[in-house]
Amino acid sequence: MKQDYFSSNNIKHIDYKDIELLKRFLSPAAKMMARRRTSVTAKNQRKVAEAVKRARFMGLLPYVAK
Amino acid sequence: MENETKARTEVYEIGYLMVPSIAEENLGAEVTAFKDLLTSHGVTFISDEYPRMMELAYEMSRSIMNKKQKFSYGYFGWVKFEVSTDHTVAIKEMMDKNEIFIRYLMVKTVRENTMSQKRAYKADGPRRKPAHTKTDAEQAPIDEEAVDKEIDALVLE
Repeated sequence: MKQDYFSSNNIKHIDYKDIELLKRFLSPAAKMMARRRTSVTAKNQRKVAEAVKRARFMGLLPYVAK
Repeated sequence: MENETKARTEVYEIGYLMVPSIAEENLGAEVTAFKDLLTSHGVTFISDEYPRMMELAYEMSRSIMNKKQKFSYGYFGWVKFEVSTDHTVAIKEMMDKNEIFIRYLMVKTVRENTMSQKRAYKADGPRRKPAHTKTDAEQAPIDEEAVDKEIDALVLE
């Protein structure tokens, strides 16, 4: 079973400015991947979702890919 | 007890998008003016990143001088600071009124760096390499024996 990416890489905080990290959890259409695909913990999945939404608001990530 | 909770300070971060019409040479002055405004609210700066021009992921609109304008580019920067919770509303009002900002985002954060260390993942790569050198080292005694045999053969000749 795949391990949580954040705990295995010792990442404690998920920053909305860290778009290269967040892109790992987005589909090619820029949709957020489901937890069954990301294999991260529920707590970290919520943090990823929060960061992605913040990055979208600031125009760092798209809402939908062109 | 109530007075203590009112005087509480928190660490905040403001990420902002400045209008692209600002010239590069005037950008420093605009950032300084923005920081001075924050200082007037009693903030203590922790860290920041100078704004840099970037293409936005989608087109944004903002009303400037009562006229709606659309933006595809902007200067994105951020500033992290500590301030009393009493001043946050005033800071937000100041940001809303300031028309050099297309958008801003004020979030609670922590004092330490929140960006992930990209090298941490790559650091595992080079660690595997010494494992290969170990196998080479194991093969070394075999090479020595072969060399000895070759020397013996030469001596006999």
